[in-house]
Amino acid sequence: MNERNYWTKLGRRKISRRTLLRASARAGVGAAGLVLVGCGDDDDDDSGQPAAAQAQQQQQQQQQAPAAQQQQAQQEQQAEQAARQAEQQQQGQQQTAQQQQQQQQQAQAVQAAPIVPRGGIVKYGAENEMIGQSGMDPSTSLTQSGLWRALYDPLIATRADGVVDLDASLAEAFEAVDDTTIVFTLREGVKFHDGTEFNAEAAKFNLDRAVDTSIPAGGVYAAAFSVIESKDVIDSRTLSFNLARPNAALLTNLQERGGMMTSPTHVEATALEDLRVQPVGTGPYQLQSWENDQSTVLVPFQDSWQRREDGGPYALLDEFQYVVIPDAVVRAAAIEAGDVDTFVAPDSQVGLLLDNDDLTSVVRKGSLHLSWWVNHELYPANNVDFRRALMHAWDKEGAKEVFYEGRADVGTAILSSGSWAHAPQENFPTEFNMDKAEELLVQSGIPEEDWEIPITAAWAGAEPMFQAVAGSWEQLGVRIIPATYEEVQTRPWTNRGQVGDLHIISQGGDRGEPDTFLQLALTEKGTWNLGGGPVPEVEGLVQDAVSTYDTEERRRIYAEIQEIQADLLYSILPGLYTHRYFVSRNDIGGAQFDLNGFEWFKELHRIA
Amino acid sequence: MSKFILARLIQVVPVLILVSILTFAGLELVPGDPVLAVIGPAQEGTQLDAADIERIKEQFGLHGSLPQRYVRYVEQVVLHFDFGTSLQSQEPVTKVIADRLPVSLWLNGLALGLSVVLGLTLGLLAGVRPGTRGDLGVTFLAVIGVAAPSFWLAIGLIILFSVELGWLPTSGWVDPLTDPWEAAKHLAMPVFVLSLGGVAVIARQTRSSVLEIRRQDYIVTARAKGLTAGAVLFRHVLKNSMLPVVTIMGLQIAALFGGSVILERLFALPGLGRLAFDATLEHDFKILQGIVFLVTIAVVTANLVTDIVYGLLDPRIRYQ
Repeated sequence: MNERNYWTKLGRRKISRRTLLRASARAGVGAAGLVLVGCGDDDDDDSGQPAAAQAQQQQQQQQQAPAAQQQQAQQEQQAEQAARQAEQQQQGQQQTAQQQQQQQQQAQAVQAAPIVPRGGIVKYGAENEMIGQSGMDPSTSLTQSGLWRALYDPLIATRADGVVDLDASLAEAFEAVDDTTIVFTLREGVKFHDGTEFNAEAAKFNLDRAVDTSIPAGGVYAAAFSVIESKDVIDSRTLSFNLARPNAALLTNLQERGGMMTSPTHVEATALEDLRVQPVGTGPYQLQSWENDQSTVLVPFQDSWQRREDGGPYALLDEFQYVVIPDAVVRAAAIEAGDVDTFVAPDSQVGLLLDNDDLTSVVRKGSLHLSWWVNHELYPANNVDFRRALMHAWDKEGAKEVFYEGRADVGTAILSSGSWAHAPQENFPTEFNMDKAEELLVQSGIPEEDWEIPITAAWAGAEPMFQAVAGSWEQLGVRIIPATYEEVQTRPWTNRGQVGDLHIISQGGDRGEPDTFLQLALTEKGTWNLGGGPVPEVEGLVQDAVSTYDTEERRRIYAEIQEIQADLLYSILPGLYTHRYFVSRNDIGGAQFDLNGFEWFKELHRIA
Repeated sequence: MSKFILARLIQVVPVLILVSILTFAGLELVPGDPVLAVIGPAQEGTQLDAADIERIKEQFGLHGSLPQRYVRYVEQVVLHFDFGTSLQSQEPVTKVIADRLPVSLWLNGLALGLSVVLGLTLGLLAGVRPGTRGDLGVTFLAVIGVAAPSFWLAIGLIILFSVELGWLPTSGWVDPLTDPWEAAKHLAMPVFVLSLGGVAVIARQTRSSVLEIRRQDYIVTARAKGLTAGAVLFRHVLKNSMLPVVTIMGLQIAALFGGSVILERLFALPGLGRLAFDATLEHDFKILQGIVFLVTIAVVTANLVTDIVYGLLDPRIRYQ
């Protein structure tokens, strides 16, 4: 068994890319320095600089080693504390919507936003352009980013733990009159960045736009909001939803782009292509400038409806800059050099950054999962023993150590450990056991000559994990038929309603709301369910879970769904749940994640 | 001279036609449907029917057979200089490229300039004093310049000059016309790394040429006539060493663009190279067609200029 453990061997001889680059850089620049010595005058005294810098750095590294260990211990403690808090928050989520509302109103009375320092500029290092990518018009954009909540406010906001946060919502109260009628009372005195007023008509206008498929590239929320049969403006502050059926996910979906409010006056006066790049919301920041693929600059919206305890606008910074740096290594170098103040660390750089005493981090555990997306209709993977065998032949612990230096959780159910509805399943094949895998393959009854699987990584980022999985499976005797990235973009998804012909190693997430994820992953028409095909029991349970507002009941149903999925082992089979690290320089405060695991910029400030 | 230029321009036409066919067919025939790549999976939980797909194809000019699409493409490019609409940003390709062009012109222009100046200087120094420490140093630098991968060198320099020493910003773009000092700091590393390959090649070529020319009889004659060392070097040696160097410089145009694809991404410079990189990942082949066509024109123009410079340096060439 041991000699088969590729990860153990690889782990023993690993050298981080960054370490290698550092050493190479010093050697290279040192060599170049030597050349310059050779080219220059004999008495040239500049040549000692690289060597001096190198010696100085080595000395610093030696001095920092104990501090780094201490920092790591602190980080681990923080991670544990965060996990405990998440558990407590999950418990809090078991309340009904009405209970949540009451709790929020009580909390509002006793909580006061603490006074935090104002002023300064914070630069956030981003991998991708946001505005230039698919725009920041809530009705047409497909992007996800913390920028949304800096510029816009949703009708109903939720905290990172999924609990409704009326303090941050444009609706100051809501009431479920009955199972299918929700009445929202909207806030007074809310202004958009263009100075116009937010009211019930504006809310209806935005919600209608979110589902309008006649807008080019529009209708993004048509599916999520299809449960809303009608929206009635009762008066300027009251909006009523009539639902086709009870829908517990609606409130969570309303905190996403589809529930964010933009100025109707601005929409009507602006061409669609300009709306993409001219976001006008009610958020604490407003857009000052944007340069495609370079930077987006936000400044405080002085008339923001949310105020701090000092009476000032909610935005704490003089300026927030969203700076695009596509390369992960350079982005990490930028925060080390102080060129940016905060960012979400790329997985490959987390270890290095956690060792840096100038940086602090906030972790969101189980944010995403690396999974095998199974086409359970495709022979021979249409055999559950075959699928189970392959899962046992995937060394998840080894992959966790090699790719994430231990900073990940091994998958134990389809919902990730970051979800409030996560229920670990004993029957889920977490264990790496090649003997058991061989046994299951034989038990499957599939002749050895048919042990093959057409599979690919969904994109370049998933390639290392793909290689790892494929390597393990090949050791088991399963032949891998590789496909290209291009094929993954068409073959599995274009034949919805039919059977696709690929398996994928990919990354996904449950994005806070279990219903959103499970509808896509487990239902017959779910885009992420590669094998399609009805599993009536699960279909019914997914619908049941979203049809009740009782969170405890929802949790119970989701646990049942996870149990069935662990038995049938179809659709998305997580190998690892990965974590996200929001890393900041020590003089930056307020970094946190939102419900969906995206960065939360509203509280960012410079520590005096 | 005008006849010579005209003849060379006529030769350019079939090259452009061939390149247009190759880029069009090559990019159109890449596996995967770009429409579905952009729109299909992104619409989570929704489905596109055949009519939707046809409508989108028409919107982006992707309808019809391959020859029909090619004819439409050529017509648009030749008559309207219109490369279509970006599949990602849905902006005109010409506008997207025009927005990025200045960044690439600055980067490649400065890198080419540095390659020429540094390459000629080092090559000349090495060629004039062969076998000395300086010559060995230049030779070694040339080997490093050719062999070192630009991404490795770039990251090494970022770690040294930005993280460790804090002298230069890690990445980003500042317009040199707006703030020359900041622009210089932002461009220092990318320009140096991009030029290094060119410096190495030009230095080696110059060194070889200088060594060769210095052995010629007319150089001995020039010295015998009592000309100063400087006059011999610059008036006779350097001018006559330039022919092969000019060839190399022409070829550097294409090499520079190739290098800038990686470096613009590393240094977060919003130029054509990064646009090409992103367009490749996003299957935005309309953008790629535009960029490849533009780069082809640049390379062909550079070759034309090289030929003209040949004629200026050696009058015998223009009559051949």
